[in-house]
Amino acid sequence: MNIWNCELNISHSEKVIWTQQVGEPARWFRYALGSREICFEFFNELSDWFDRGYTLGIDNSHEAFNLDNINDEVNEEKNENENFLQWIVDYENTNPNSKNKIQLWVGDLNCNNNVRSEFRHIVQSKITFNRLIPPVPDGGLIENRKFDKKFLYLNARIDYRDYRIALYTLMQSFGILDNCYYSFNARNESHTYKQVLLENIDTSNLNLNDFEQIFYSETNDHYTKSFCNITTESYFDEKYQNRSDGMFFMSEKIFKPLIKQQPFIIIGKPNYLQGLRNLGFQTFGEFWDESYDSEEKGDVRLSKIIKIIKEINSKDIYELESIYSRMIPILKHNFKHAFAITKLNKNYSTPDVDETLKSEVLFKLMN
Amino acid sequence: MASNLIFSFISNSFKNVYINHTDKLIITTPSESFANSLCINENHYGKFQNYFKNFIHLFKNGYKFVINDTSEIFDVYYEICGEVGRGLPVSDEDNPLMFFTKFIQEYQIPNNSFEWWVENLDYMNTCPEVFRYLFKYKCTSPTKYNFSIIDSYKNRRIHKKFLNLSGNIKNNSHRYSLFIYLQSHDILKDSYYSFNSIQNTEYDSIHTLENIENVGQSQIHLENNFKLLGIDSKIVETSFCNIITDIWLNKDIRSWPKFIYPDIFRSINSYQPFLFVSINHPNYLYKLKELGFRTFSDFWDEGYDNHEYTIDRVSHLIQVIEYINSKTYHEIQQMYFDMLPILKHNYELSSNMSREIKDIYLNSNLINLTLNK
Repeated sequence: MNIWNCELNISHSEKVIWTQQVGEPARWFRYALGSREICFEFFNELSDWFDRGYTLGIDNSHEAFNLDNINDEVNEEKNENENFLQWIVDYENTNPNSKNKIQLWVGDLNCNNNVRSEFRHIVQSKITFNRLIPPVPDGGLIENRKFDKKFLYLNARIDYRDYRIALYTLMQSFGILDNCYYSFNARNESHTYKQVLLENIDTSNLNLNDFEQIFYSETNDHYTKSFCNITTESYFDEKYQNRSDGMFFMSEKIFKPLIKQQPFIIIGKPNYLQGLRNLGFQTFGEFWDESYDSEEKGDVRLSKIIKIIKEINSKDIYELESIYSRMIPILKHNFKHAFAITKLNKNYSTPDVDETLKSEVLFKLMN
Repeated sequence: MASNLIFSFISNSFKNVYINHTDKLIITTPSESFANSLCINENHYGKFQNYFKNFIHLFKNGYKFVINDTSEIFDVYYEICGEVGRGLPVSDEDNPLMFFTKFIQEYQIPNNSFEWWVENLDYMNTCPEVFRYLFKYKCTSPTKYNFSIIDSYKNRRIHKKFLNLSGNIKNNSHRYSLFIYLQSHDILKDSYYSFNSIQNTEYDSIHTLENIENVGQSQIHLENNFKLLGIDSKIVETSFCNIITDIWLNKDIRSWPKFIYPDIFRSINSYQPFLFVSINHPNYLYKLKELGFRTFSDFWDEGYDNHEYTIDRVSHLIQVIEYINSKTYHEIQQMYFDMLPILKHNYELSSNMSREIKDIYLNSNLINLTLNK
């Protein structure tokens, strides 16, 4: 599912027409359209829809960053004429039927902090990944889970993510990997490091060059037979924060333990757990020290996390099963809330697809 | 395609050329910039020719022209001639290394009129055979960390177990890993350390080396080189073991040549034992031993150096650090004294390695010769 097929989704009930996930894409989308003229041509193609009250969504909700940041980054001279969001504003001004009907959807739930005021009506926060992670069939039977590993610990991408490499190195050094289902450099982008695929996966049907297949290759057993999910979120330190102060982005990585009903330790940005709690999720502060979450400095945060992982690792499987059983009310709550959250807050939801429409402008660009 | 290989000279690079009549050498200042300045331009051989014609009479009297490319880990072979090394088709006209041969034949000067000094240990194995005559392995790095050690190292008192300097952490995951280990295991209190001290804003943590002005009176006089490098000499005098990490280089690591990482000489030249882990290359300690240095396998497990993958090396090294950290200061002090024969041997070897180069420059005169553009 991506923009390459040039199809736009339509929801008649919610009067929304939106692009396929553009992914890295917001950046790509901005380049693909490339110029104000082509951009206007694309919007003109949808003019009838605007007249009928439909809103256009450029769907970048798989990613946290928005085009305002990207424009700052890519336009060395910061020429406002090259700002994609400015093009949208200009189009709105010359085509009143489109006013407030063109949106950029991003996964950063704090995106308002990161967008200039004149563009805030364009950029909208969305939660997408709760729709993509299927529950474990035994969802109602978590009382019966028996573990053979203490952790599930997935690291597909490691390039430019020193915090992931550091944690993995230490876990190896302390012998903790023996107690994990784990992957490392699964995408094999960095030849400095060996590729470690998750054990017990059937690779016969996997195209190992297809990242998406590797991305979701873990089986339900990996979740039901391991106690705790060490969740390495997309963002950790300021590396990406340069573009987005206070960003709060829930990638697919956190929805995996939420929906598969595992406790989790987050290797993420500061105050991530607080962000989850603000949204109504529950975390595990009564079972281990979650003060790591409020540590602003990445090195301190990671050091505290190491201590927690070592502490959990020091417990035997039976003890962890006992702890898990006491966590069940939290896990069940989080499971339900993961699906309910976009219903409770409609702003965060994306509509269901009623039909699709092929964009001639995008098709022309692609071909 | 000449674009990547055309050989030209930037005049500034040639200003700093020294002549040593005793050794009959014309030698450039040790600098990567010299090699890097051999960059792309047109009329390349013409400039080469015009410049070196100035030295014909000296060549005919047995002088050699030395391009001293040893002071940095960057290597002319990769930077300038990498395409030759990678076996891509390169015409003679475009191959900068061929200019030397061509010039020697054209002006009928001795075949050994040029030497290109490099600090790459594997150079002679990786350079195409036809060009090997041109290159010599020389080690300039010790001169960067050239300290006046007097016998008082025998009275050295250890205040910290480790020194761990990680100025640049970007893409240096081994530095990141080691620092997190030291921090999470409360070893920083027993260490002098820095982390992201170059203050890369992509990371939110910055730790600069602490000021240890008040740590005891030094019995050792070191020259000011440490301060030039942003490190108080007392840091080295009063810490036991230097955890040294090289930097990740944005190159194809499989073809990146091997060097003695210059910071190793900081330890060697100040009588300090060291642990060394490279992000790109295993078997560094073996390379050091090949050069005659002694390492510390009598005191701790150096098997960490042998693993193919960085993560395996670092995670093994962590266990070594854990072992050293388990020692009391009294035991560490004793271990240090037990190591003195090794430290003395290394210091003397390092001094000898750099003595030749130092003497050459000390007995040289500067020639201010600007390239005629």
